[in-house]
This record gives sequence, C-alpha cells and structure tokens, in this order.
Amino acid sequence: MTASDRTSRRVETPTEVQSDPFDSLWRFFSSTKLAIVLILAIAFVSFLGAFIIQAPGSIANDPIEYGRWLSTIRGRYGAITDIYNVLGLFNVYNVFWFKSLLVLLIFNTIICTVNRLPALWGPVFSPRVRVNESMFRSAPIRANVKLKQRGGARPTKDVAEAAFAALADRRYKVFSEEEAGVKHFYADRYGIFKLGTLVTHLSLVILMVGAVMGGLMGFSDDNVIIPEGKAYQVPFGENFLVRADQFKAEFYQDGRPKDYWSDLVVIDGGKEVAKQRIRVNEPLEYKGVRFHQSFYGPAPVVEVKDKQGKVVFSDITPLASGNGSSNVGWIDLPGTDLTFLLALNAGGDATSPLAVQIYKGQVPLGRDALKVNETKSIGDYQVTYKALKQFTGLRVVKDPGVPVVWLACALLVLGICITLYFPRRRIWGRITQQEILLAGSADKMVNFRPEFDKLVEAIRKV
Amino acid sequence: MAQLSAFLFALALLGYFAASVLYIAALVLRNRRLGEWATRTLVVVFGIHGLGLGQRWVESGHLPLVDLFEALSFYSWLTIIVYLLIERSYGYKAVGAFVTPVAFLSIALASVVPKESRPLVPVLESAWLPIHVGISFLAYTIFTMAFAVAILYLLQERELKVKKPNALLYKLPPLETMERLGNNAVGIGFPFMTLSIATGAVWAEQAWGSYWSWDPKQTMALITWLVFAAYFHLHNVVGWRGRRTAWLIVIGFASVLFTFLGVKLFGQGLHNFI
Repeated sequence: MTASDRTSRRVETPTEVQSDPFDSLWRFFSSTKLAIVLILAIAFVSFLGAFIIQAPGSIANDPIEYGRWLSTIRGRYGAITDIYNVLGLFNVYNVFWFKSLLVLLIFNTIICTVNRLPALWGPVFSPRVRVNESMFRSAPIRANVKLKQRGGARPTKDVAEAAFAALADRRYKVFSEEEAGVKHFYADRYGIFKLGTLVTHLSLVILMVGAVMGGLMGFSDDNVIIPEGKAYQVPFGENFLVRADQFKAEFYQDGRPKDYWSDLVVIDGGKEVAKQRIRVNEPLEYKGVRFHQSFYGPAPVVEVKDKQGKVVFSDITPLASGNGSSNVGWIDLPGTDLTFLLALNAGGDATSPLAVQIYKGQVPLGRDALKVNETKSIGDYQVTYKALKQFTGLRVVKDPGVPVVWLACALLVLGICITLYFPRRRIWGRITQQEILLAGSADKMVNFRPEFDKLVEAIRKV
Repeated sequence: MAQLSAFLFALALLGYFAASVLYIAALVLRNRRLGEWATRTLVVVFGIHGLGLGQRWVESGHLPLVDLFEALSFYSWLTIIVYLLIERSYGYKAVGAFVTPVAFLSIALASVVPKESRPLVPVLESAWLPIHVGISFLAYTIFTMAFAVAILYLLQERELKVKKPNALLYKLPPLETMERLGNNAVGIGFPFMTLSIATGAVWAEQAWGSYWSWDPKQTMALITWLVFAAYFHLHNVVGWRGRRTAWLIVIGFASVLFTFLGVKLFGQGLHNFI
C-alpha cells in the first residue's frame, strides 16, 4: 500500500461515518467546548471594548462625523488607529463579527439544550431503578443494613414501605420495582430541579428575542431638546406631541445638581391627555413611548427687529451645544441667509451677559453682549435679550422588547438559583429478606456522607 | 459628629490589621489560642466598623454606599461578616488568614481616597440603590471567599505535590473539602452576580431609558458573569477539577476586582459614582 492510498483511506473513513453535512454541523454546534470558546471570546472582546475608546453611538452612521472623531483619537492610538478601525474595535459592540459571536452562542445554546433533553428527561421522570449489583460493593458512599430476624422475617414489602417513608420524610422521591421477592429502588431529592438548566438556557434565548425585538420594533433618540413652553412631535409614525411647560434644577453648594425635573404634557389629537413631572428616575410613559429626563441647559428668549422696526424673530433658543466653557445656540434668521450665534458662559444665569454674533456664512457682521432686558443694535438689527429660560434634554425611547427582557431576566435568575441552590442527591437500593443495600451519590456541591449516614441510621430503625 | 465616624473607621483600620496578624500567626505557628483571639478581635472590630458605618449613615442622611470610600469600607465589612459566618459553620480558621488581609487592604485603600461625604446626585435617588448595591456587594464578597479558598487550595496542592509538608499544610482542611468550599462559594455567589446585573439593568432602564448600554461597569460585570459561566461549564460538563478550576476562580476574582474598582480607577462611563 502506498502512502497516498493510506491518506485517501484516512480521508474516506470519517466521511463514511458522518456523510451527512447536517449531522456534522449538528455535532459541531452541540459541543459544550464550542460554548466555552464562544463565552470566553465574547468576554475577551467585551473587555477590549471597555478599554478602547468607543465612538459615540450618534456618529457611528455618519462617515464625515466619524472621520472627524477618528482624527481626534489618532493622537492617542497613533498608527494602530487604522488597524482598530478596520477591525471595528471603535464600535465593537455593534460590529458584525461581535454580533455573530452572540448569535452563534445562542444557536449553540439552543442545539446543546435540545441535544441534552433526553438525557435530562430520563433521570427525572423514568430513572433507572435497577442497577448492577457491583454498585453496592464499590460506590464510595454505600451502606449495608442487616435486617434483624426477630420472630421470623418481616415481609420485604413492609420493610420497603417503612424505608420509603423514611426517604419521603427527607423529601426524597422514590421509584421502585419488584422482582423475585427483591425490591429495587431509586430515590432522589431535588431531582426535578435538574431541569433548572433548561430554564436558564431558554431564558438566554428569550433574552435575545427581547433584544432583537427592541432593535427591530423600537426607536430611540438620545438628544431631544425642548425649550420651555415648546412642544416636540414624537417621530417614527407616532402622532402625538409632548410639551415641556417648565424645567427646574436645584443645586448643592458644591455646584452638583441636587434635583432637576421637567413638567411634561402629552397632547394627542389636540387634547391634553397626560401630565407628569419627570425626573431622572421617574420617566413619563405614553403609548409605549418613554420620556426620560436626561440633560438640560439655558435657553434665552431673544427678539430681533430689522431696520424698519419690524419684528423678524422672537423666540426661545436652546443653547444645547458648546465646548464646556460656554453654551452655544443658533438662530437662522427667517427669509435671510444670516445666522445669529448666541453664547452664554457655562454656569451662567440671568445676570450673565449673552454674547450675540451675526454671521453671513463664515463672515462675521457684528457682535455684542447683552444683559436681560437690554436692547442693542448689532449689524443692521436691533436685538433684545428678553429673558433667560431653560430647555430640557430628554431621551425618548420606545422598546417593545423590554417586557420580554424582564421575563428572560426573571427566568435566568430562577433557573440559576434552582440549579445551584438545590443540588441533587441520589440513592439506589435493594431490599431483600436479609438486608438493605444502599449506594448514594450527590452533586459536587453537597457534602453527602454525613447526610447519607443519617439517612442510613433512619432506615436502620425501620 | 463627622469626627466620630472617622474615629471609628481608624479603629477598624487598626483592628483589621491586628486581626490579620493574629490569623496569620495562628496559621503559621499552629497555635489554637492565637486563632481564638483572632476571631474575638475580628468580631469586636467588625462591631466597631459597623457602628462607624451606621454613624456615617446618620451623618450623611443617605445609605453610605455611594462613593469609593464608602464602597471600599462596606466591602471590607461585608467580607468580614460573610467570613465570620463561614468560620462559625465550618470551623476553618485558615481561610481567615487570607480573607482578613483582603478586608484590611480594602479599608487601607479606603483610607487614602477622599473621605468627605457628599450629597446624592439625582440618579441615585431611587429605591434600587440599596437593592442593587447590596446584591452586588454580596456577590463580590462571596467571590472573595471563593478566591481565598482557591488560593489556599493552590498552596496546599503544591505542598502536597513536592511532598514537603510544612506548617501551613498542617492546619488546613483536606484538599477535597477545600475544593468543595471553593466550588460552593462560586455557586452561591453566581446567582447574586446574575441578580446584580439584572437589577442594574432594571434601574438603568428606569433612569437612562436603556437596560443595556455597554457602559464599562455593565460590561465588566458581564465579563465576570461570563467567566463564571465558563467555570460552571468546565466544572460540571467538561469535568475540570482541582488546580485548573482553582485558577479559574482566581481569574474570575481578578474580573470581580476590575468590575468593582477597575472601571472607577481607569475608565469613564455613566456609572461614575463608584
């Protein structure tokens, strides 16, 4: 036989055994080793994501903004930036290969679970009652109870009944068979809780369903800005408005916020249908859409008159962007190509001056600073700073997957608790006229010997 | 009154040091009486520390679990009570020689971070604060026990292997028992870790409108959970035992430390109070 013969043989043999590709795929996905590899891979990639700076979610789909962001972090990561970028490590929790790992793990979970079903079912509902006699001679935990022959032998049936009662007292479930005057039995405690693993693994699948539901049927906007007195049209096909009547914030002496809230009114079909004061931990929910208090900032009311004294603009403007030292907002003056830039120092209040600059494209046409109730002429316009109000920043979310996720969480905790807190104990026995043979084993968590000895003591008394 | 809690805290710091020395001395010198004194000292210090925590609660008007100082302090206190309960039911003082120094290190670290109590930020004004934080710390603490036992196991196993039994080995429980203790600690801690993540998700959903946002703290908690999930599969299904599972527990505990402190010390995120 030549070398090539041998190799071709070797190749052929396994294909003959598992010629069905579905079969080999099933085998691949039903392996616990794959699950462990996937779990550790997901843990590792998650770890990378926690320590590599992640691109803000809002710019991930905007190539220009993303490019700008990339150049700001190049200073930190240098040449490796491009490698990270190609691998998707700056947005690692959304990159396709990370999501694929998650999907693979769930797929693996389903197949593993289905594969294990018969092996789980059997010992719970139809356990093997009759075991090989050698078990009673070799099991690490075993006992031999000699039955006293006082006044003739008791019927095996009576002995068995008493022994089973002793087991039942200790919450053991007993299965028994009789053959040729010999009673075989199997008893377990918390045996049914072995099915907890099904609950645990099923809950992970449900969790995934909930997450996918949120992704497909929900929406979210992290950056909804409503100046006081203004209303916001809820997008994504929802036809109702939310008006912010008032925003208030209180601060501690060290400047940190103590409490802040918005008074929101829901307007559906022209009618006020709901009213609520929302805080960080108290969102408003209407028709499955939730409004979370997220951020806030100043919003000056400004009036602009043209040369003829006609009011061309009078409204509230949220100063929602800025660089940390000041809050900035824009007015695009209607009917012109002019932009009014408004800026207030960070932490500024109604006593601080409001800086106003007029731009035509990139060209500045004038600038000045105003106090509340002051009017100044800037460029060709008369600008009045009428009042300082606030805007409220909300996160608006609709996520129909949330109840499913909570169901999954509850099942997950339940499944894990019953698996870990109720370890199974098992006892096999054989009752004859002369003796009771016992062998026991338990899950690794249990220090079974003392328990077993007590049980044997109880059976000895029967 | 702020001096009172600071004074009690300083006493606890000294007391944990003394208890650590006693536990280690009892183990190395194989001295039973030293061991008894170690336990007595620890019980007293635990009481003083508890008073200190209570006093701080009174002073600040909120649960003393909202900054790094309070977290470290509470962690060492909870570690001690869980350890004392285990010592009571199992009677192995050897574990104390590893757990007490961990509690001491934690409170020593607390003594060098800013201590002044600050009022609550709005997001922490929630009934979830005691639930979520209490459960999380229980998980951390129970995993600390698993870690201490795993380290003991590894030391003891090495000594057995080189067949040079010395003082340490003499007083330790049998390897098999140590292994079961470690495995049980992980088994008891894991549901708490799961609940910690779940209650955190419920709270995040309420406060920020998203049950999961891959915040570094959430992510590290998930990683810890995954490491222990891998542990159970390797232990229960693949059949890993002994040294290898002990090392897995050590890795899991490293992840716990990162979850507890790493995010605060190295990262930024929504969860930036502790």
